Amino acid sequence: MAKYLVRRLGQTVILMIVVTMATFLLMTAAPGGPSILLDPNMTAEQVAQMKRLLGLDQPIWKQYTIWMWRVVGGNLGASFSAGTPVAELIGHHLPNTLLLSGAAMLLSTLAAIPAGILSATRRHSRLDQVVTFASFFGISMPVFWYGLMLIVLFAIRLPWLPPGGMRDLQGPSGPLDVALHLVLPAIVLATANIAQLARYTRSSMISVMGEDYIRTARSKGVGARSLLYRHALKNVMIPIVTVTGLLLPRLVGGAAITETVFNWPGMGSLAVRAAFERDYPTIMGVTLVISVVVVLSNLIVDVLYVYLDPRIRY
Amino acid sequence: MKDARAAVAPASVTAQAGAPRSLSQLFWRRLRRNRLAFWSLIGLAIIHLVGLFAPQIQPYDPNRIELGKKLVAPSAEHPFGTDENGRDILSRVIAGSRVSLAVGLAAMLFSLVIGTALGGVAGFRSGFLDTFLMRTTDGMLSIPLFFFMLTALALIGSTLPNIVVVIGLASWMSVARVVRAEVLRTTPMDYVLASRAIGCQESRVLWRHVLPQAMPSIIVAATLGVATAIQFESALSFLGLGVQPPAASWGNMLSNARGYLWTSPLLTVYPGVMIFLTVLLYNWLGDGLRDALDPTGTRAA
Amino acid sequence: MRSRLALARIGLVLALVIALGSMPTHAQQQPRSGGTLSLPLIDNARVWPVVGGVPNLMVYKAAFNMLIRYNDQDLLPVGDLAERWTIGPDGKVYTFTLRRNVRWHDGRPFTADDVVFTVNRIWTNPDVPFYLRGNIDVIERAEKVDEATVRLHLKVPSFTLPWMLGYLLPILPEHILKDWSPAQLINPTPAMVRSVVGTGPFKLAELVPGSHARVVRNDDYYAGRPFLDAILYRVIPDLDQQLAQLQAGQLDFMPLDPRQLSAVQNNPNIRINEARQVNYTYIGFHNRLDPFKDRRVRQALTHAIDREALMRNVIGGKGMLSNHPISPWLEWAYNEKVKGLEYSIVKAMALLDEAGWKVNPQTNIRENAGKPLKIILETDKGDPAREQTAVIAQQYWKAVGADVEIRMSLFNALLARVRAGVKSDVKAHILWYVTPPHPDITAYYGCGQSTNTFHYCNPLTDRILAQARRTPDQKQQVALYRQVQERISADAPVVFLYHPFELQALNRNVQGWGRFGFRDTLNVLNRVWKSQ
Repeated sequence: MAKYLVRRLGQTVILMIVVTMATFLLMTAAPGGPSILLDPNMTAEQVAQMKRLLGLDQPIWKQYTIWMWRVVGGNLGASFSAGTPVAELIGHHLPNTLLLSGAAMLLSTLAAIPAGILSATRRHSRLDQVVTFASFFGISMPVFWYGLMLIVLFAIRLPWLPPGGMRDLQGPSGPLDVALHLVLPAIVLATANIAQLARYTRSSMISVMGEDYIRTARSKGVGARSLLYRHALKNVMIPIVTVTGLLLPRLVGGAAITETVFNWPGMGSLAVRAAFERDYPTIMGVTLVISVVVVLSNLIVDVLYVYLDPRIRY
Repeated sequence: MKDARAAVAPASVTAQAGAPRSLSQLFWRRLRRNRLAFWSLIGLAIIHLVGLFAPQIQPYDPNRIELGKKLVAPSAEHPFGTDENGRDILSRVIAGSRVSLAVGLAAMLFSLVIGTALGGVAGFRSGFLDTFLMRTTDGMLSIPLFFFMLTALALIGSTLPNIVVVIGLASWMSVARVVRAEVLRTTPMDYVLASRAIGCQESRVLWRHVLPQAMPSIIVAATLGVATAIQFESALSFLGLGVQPPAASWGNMLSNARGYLWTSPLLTVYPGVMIFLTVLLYNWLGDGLRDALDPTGTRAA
Repeated sequence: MRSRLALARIGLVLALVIALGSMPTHAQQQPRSGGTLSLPLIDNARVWPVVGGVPNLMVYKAAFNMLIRYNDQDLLPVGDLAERWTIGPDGKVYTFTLRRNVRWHDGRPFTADDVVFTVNRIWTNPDVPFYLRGNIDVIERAEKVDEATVRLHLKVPSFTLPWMLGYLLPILPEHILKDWSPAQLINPTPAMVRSVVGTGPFKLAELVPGSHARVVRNDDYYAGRPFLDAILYRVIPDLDQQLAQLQAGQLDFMPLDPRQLSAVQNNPNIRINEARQVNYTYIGFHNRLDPFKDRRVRQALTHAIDREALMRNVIGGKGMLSNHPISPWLEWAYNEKVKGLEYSIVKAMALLDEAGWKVNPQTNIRENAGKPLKIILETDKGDPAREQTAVIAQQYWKAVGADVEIRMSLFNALLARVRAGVKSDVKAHILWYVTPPHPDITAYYGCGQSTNTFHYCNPLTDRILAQARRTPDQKQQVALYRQVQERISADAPVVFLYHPFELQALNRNVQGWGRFGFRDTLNVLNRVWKSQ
């Protein structure tokens, strides 16, 4: 296990170098350059001076090496447009994204796994059809349209929920306030996942129920309920954990849209703004941190297998 | 334990050896039995025909501006009304189908090419190259790709070819896995060994023996890929990174109509429904195909 | 003498009547203290006046003062930190008398040293790439006369300096910044920014990246205690989200996109203010490249566009047609006699024919010496108004025989190319300018100026502009600027489209908000208050 973990971590490091290098190249090769160099009042001389101050006059490979060295030393640099150390920016935004993604993930599993199991055990029933239809509906909806519709409906026409943001900045703000702000974005972010996970649970369940050992158990007279929960469910969990792991990067990626629509102060909205501002240090920092977080979560998923499936040994 | 996921994933649909002689016959029979998939196919055929013959069908020039007729309500003259520039929305929806479908199909084809090439190479060249390519595939699957797509397009600019390339580059992984698995399964077989022995090139083996066997899974992946690509384009449009005006795409129409969400929500409905419907039909079709092409038949709904 | 006294008496009585008549409303309108004003930011605010950016200035304007600001009536310069100023007869020495009752937020008095420091160590320091230097490059140095008097020495005579000083040039505290290096001055960390104090009506209290900034009342403000307790700036990049927050009562103000207007027009809690701002949108040409080298082509392309209809569609008619770069809100300098180049396809075609661009009957596109009249019109992606302008202009120009291709690129990429100097490959582009409220347009239209992105050059116009700068007499100055307006309009270096209003959506209970754009209102935040 330890050896496996070490190897996986090694792979992660290589992946991060490749990812950051690609991003760096793309970023510096793209036409335009950072917004701070483009103020309409600045003269060419001032732009050159500014570039020197920010180290942008160096050759690209050198800029990358300097950046890499700083990262190894724990320094992600400072944002061009906000002046804030990127680590501090990420410190503000990352927990919010984790909260939103976590809530969405929880919502997905809580809604999707029971729905999938129910619809698998009652195949072709009305319930199964409803779940199937709703799943496809969720997969096919354009996310931002859906999000805006929910805002119009549940925040403006029926003023039940806040239209966006993360907390009420003018009143007392506690966990309940944050939870209220979380409802709409978490639902929007979870919808596509609920759909996929429900369909996946359903088909895994169907195929597990058809396996020999279940048939054997059934022929031995094990009750339907016990069959389902003691025998089938544990085996179904393995592929479900797999899919959950695979959905995670999509969840975090999808947060870019959801966070923008709902003004959720997370990594997604940070990334969108950094990309448009050409805020090099922020783009690099966000890319690196978000990739590391997702890759590490995947690693946790892999470790979970061992717990769920005793046949798997690393 | 090299790849825990591939080993336990039950959805990996591989055509079994000894499949019926005419896979396509079986396929059609099954597909017709699956009414949902069948009608999805019909629906998609119609949408694609509309896209193909858009210039002949559209009642007006989709980019023709009539400043006096801004935001006109639906009427006999303009069945869907007009947009903020007095352009006929029906014509733009029709013209948009061409662009959106083209983005979807082109991105899908591009991802198929990359996936097949990389999967094939990985399968034939076991050892370091295989490990490297498969680790890359895993790596690609484990990072939040939408972040990279938006960063890349925000940096290099979102022209139509760039959009297709970026979406394609982000969606070849499942195809690569399927093709590699098929190569590994097929190459030890006698007839393949024989054809290699008589000097057939690997590309030929890939083309003649591997791809036909992997085709069912590839078709499923491709179908779902088009749906994903269309959704990606609309999501990128929301951030201003989709297809550029004046050309209409469903994504940029929806994104433009956003400004009127409060007053003329109908404007968002036409492109929104088209995206929704097309993606839905592609998903239904893909799901039906998966059942129809799965020779074990265990998943038939 | 008698009659004059009588008249004065009548005047006094009238004034009393008016005062009595308006008394009840005045009683209701008595400014009330307390409350928080909530404003939107499209991105994190830097809160640092040495660098640019709209979110930045929205916050720092609450915390800092300038020497001079613009008045509420006609945007003429009035004293802010400077109580008054005099100009030497040669126009090369300005003497400012500073206010004596001003204190920094930490209690230290504001003195001439602070002004000298700001001018000599930041504005004119060649080691600090201060982004607004272009506006004030006439300043050579500042000199302290006594604690409350500062003299600015100019390199060349200028009578337009006060307008430039009122444009985003806050005074910074010497006692805090004196040991900062140039690199720190241009690029301080937020921790350093938090340690800086201002003189403004509000003090920086909180700066949370991605979420908000908060400034709180400065009880010792020189112009009296502000009414508001605090201003909360919320970071909301998405305009639809801003609109939702405004409707939910979470924002007190936002500049609307014209398309959003109808959504809130009938909302009883929201008031729409069509504010004046010194701002114009244009289709710029590269005046040194074909076919725009030829004045007749430029004129024809202006004649070809029904700018009135365009403005109606793009910004819902919420603006004033523009015929030259000078804003109609500068009433003292605006030449209303300049009517511009009217919409006339006939004139457009005649001018193009005259310039040698003849229609090829096979393609319906004009050609000159075998080359088709092809225009690549560029603008930035993501702004609906400019995108719409591009497609409308394309259609108008096609109607007179030009082949127009629209190219959209990301704002930064386009701007970098537009600003690449004479070698720029951008031939026609749609963008906008926000400028100081003064008709001195040398920086944008003067021959060889670094911010002249049109590469327009008319030596005669140049001479008039230079002469106006050296003319102390206001009347003569205005006469010269009126000439400039006529010349620029006729030369059509760009297609002048419109001066848009800033559509301000305000919560009903926001009072004391000015009539100009928010940039100017933010200079007098101490007067804003909230009724219940």
